[in-house]
Amino acid sequence: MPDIFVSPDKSARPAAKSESPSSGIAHSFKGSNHLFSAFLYQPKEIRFETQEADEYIILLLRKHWITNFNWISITLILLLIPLFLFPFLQTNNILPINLPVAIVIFITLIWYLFSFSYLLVEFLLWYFTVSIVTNERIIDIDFINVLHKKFAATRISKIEDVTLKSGGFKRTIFDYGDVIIQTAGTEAQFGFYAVPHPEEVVRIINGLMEEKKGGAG
Amino acid sequence: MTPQEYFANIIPFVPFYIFKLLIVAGLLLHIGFSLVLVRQTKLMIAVVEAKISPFIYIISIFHLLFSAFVLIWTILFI
Repeated sequence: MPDIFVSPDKSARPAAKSESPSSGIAHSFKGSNHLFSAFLYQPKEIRFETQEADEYIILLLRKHWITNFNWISITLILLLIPLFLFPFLQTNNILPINLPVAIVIFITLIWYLFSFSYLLVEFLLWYFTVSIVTNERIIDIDFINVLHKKFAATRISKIEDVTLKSGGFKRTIFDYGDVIIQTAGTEAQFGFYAVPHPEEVVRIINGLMEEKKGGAG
Repeated sequence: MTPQEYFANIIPFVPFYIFKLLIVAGLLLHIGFSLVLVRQTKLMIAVVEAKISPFIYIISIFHLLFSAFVLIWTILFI
């Protein structure tokens, strides 16, 4: 006689639940774990200030590389300008008197010095402004400018809600968005802005929350 | 034509040393900024320690040296 109702196999459930919340993306994003990656999954050679002994990094996030497009483009233009400017001025006789070589070298040096400063500051701000998800905490390190740093951290157990904000042409094409985390701690809200693969980030954080709730209950 | 002669032709009513003084003062400010950047980079790499951190620190020192080089070059040749 054919079965009308087959009860789901309950023995399979605990195994699925005990699976690491982040294990599902392990192989799909392994290739992006290079030095300048904006989405580092379980990075082995990175540590952060205040990291506890039994704490390990699950995710290290930076702003998506496409958000650097503006300053990289500006830097490239700045680097190219002297190569074209002086020949252009000389050949078209725009200046009333020919520039002495010392002045040309001086302007070029100053130009490249300031371009270098601009490039370095923009890179440092991007590279060191990170959002970290560990097995214990959520950490947000913001370098607002070269002189000002904001460090905020909260326990996974204090997270109340995780929201994803995405949309728009660029964000859809390059798959990045904002992950907003509401907490019961002193820092009421954490924002991981313009991070790659926001759905995966939300999934991992939700998985960790479930794990903590499961562990506490 | 020397830079002094050039400036005398372009703006004859301002003495050349005023220009040079302003340029040197600006470059000294930039060296101050570069020093702050080196210090701040040191703090940043302490916050997030990565394999590349020493390299980033070396770049910030190179930036400071470049700034000092431009200042010395300006004092000597402008």
